[in-house]
Amino acid sequence: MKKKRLTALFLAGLMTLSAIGCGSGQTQTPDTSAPAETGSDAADASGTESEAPASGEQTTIEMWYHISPDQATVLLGMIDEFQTLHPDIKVETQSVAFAEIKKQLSIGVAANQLPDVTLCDTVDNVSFAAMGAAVDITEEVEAWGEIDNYFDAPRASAVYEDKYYGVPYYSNCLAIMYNKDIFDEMGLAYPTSDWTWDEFKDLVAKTTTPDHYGLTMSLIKSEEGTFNVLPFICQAGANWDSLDSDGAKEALTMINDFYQNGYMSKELISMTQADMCASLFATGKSAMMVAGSWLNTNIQNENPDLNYDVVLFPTNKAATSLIGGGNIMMMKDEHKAAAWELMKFLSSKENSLKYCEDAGYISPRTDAVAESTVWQNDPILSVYTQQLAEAMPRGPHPKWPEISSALQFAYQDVLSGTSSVEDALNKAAAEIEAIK
Amino acid sequence: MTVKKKKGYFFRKKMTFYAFVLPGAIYMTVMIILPILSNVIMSFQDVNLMNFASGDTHFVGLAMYKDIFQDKVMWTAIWNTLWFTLWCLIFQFPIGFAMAMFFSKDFKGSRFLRGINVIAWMIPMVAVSGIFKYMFNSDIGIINRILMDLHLVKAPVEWLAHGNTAMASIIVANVWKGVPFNMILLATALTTVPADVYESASIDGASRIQRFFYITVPLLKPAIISVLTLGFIYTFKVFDLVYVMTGGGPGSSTEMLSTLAYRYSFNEYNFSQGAAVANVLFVLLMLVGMVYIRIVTKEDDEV
Repeated sequence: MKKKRLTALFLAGLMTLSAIGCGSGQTQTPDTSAPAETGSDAADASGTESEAPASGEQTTIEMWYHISPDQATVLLGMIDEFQTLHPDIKVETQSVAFAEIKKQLSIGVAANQLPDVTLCDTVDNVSFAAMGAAVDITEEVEAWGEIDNYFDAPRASAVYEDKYYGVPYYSNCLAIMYNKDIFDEMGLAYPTSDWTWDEFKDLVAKTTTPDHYGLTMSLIKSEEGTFNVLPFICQAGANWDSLDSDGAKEALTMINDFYQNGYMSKELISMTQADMCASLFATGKSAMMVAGSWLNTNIQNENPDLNYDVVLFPTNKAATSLIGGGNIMMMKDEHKAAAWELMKFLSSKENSLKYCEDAGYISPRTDAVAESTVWQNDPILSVYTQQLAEAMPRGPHPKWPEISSALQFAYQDVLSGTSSVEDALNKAAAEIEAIK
Repeated sequence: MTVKKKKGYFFRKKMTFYAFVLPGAIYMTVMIILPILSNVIMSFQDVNLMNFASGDTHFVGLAMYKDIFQDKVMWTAIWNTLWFTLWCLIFQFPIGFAMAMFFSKDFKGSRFLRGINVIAWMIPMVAVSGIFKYMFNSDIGIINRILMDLHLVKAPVEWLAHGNTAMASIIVANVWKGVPFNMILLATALTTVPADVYESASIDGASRIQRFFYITVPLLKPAIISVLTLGFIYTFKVFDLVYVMTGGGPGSSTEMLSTLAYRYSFNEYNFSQGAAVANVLFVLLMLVGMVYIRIVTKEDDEV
């Protein structure tokens, strides 16, 4: 009996303990071997090599990237080219999963095992700046003299307290994709770039039939949802810091009307952009979709015959879109010269053009865009290029995830009928005020 | 001389004993005790993304606990977790028990069928969650399809888009997954009940119901208690199911303590708040574990 008691005690203890393991995330050892592997490299580099980079010895710098292997081919090719041009610099690269890069970098900060250079999501650039993790490269950027060639929104995403903590690397933004066949079938004219919210609302209602929804946009409780909802709030003249304004209320009311009237699928509340594209727009179950240029690839994979086009967001006060994309940051100033050399090389007009065209993004550089035949002439990408000029960054704010979370609760509470538009937005505005 | 020798013998014996215990102790310390301790410490500090790098974390006492309990979401999460656990147990335990009784009857193929049922328990939770998410989909889900074909509902039900139906959906998914677990443990326990007890009871004129309540249940009591406790703990710390099916939404209507801890830590990067929520979860489960130990100990003393 005594034995049984002990076993019981042990079992119960183990169960509770394993519970906390799952709950807290604290016991999750940082997976992906990235920081572990890099540890030794960093140690090597900081040993002898770093002290005398000019004396013919090689400086080893490390770069992390979170883009997919397909997209990385061109990047890796450029890095080889860079090493040929700079025989004194050796670049070691490390791939990190797209969704993991922020976590990995945060862990890297705590463990003091950071790469010299890294790519990150645009929205996270200022977070790392505020953390003191990203290196201030204002002097270098100003001496470089090319930052004025960038679109405003991507450039703003790299600035924190009037200092540069990164360089935009690739950009994208949202616009509205529409299914031409559905418009043809219903005898409706295609939307044009000067359409207004009223026309937009009208078309969303008209294109809703038992066979298809009028509109599709991600309303999930994550950054993807924020990315899809916030453009409308901006179009109505509000933004994340004025969610209790009339503009924000007008925007959320419109989205809620679409949702409650059945113009949008109720499933959108838990769908990512890739999900909604695959199950609704690409299969012809939705006339329009709030979408970024990267979803082109998804559509090609899902249904290459889909007859669709893209149009700028409709105008209320403006036709604002939000940018996505990636920035390139310096995380260590140990090999500042070499790291900056690499950043400059990757960000040159030619390389920006080459990389972004290949990866299906838009270059954040206006001069690169002006030279590209793709971004000027491609029927889809040219619209996104146009929309990028009218785009804004999300934030930028170092506590963006918390701000975004407040907005996510607001629209989810409204859509699920838990809260009125007015109450939900006032609450979110108060929360954001406290975060600021 | 002899004394010394004896001492050496005991010493060696003692060392052997420690050598056996050591690997387990080291494992427990490194993998479980230290992380929990650091989690507890973190919950009394202010650690977030902003001071993570500078190491400028300082002790703030109970401020994080005050913060989380002032956030209405915390109370919602505690309530949701309890509500979810309660309904899961209410369904999965009786169904599991009934199935255990059923399959303990020695009919042809009973063992095989019981084995088949356990497959549900072996499927990874993430896969189960993904499948149920599709089944509850309002546009293409099979559940709406069946309900409409049976004329039980007129229009598709938007299961995951409303708070109450979303909660019901995750309860259904979890019950489906939990039933085999209850079944297999209770079925194993049932095999230990000697058949002659039933025989003599039926000779004495006990009805089926009487036999169940006066023989089966008392004899299975230890098993029942441990199944309920384990079930409670497993259910209470649910994470993957909710994360995949609803993400805690819509709004916070299916937010659980575990998903809230994750959100604080890894979406909002308030590591201390996340740690504090996880510790609340830990303490609540610890209480359940202590109640269980209490009951089991009492049982033992009675025997």
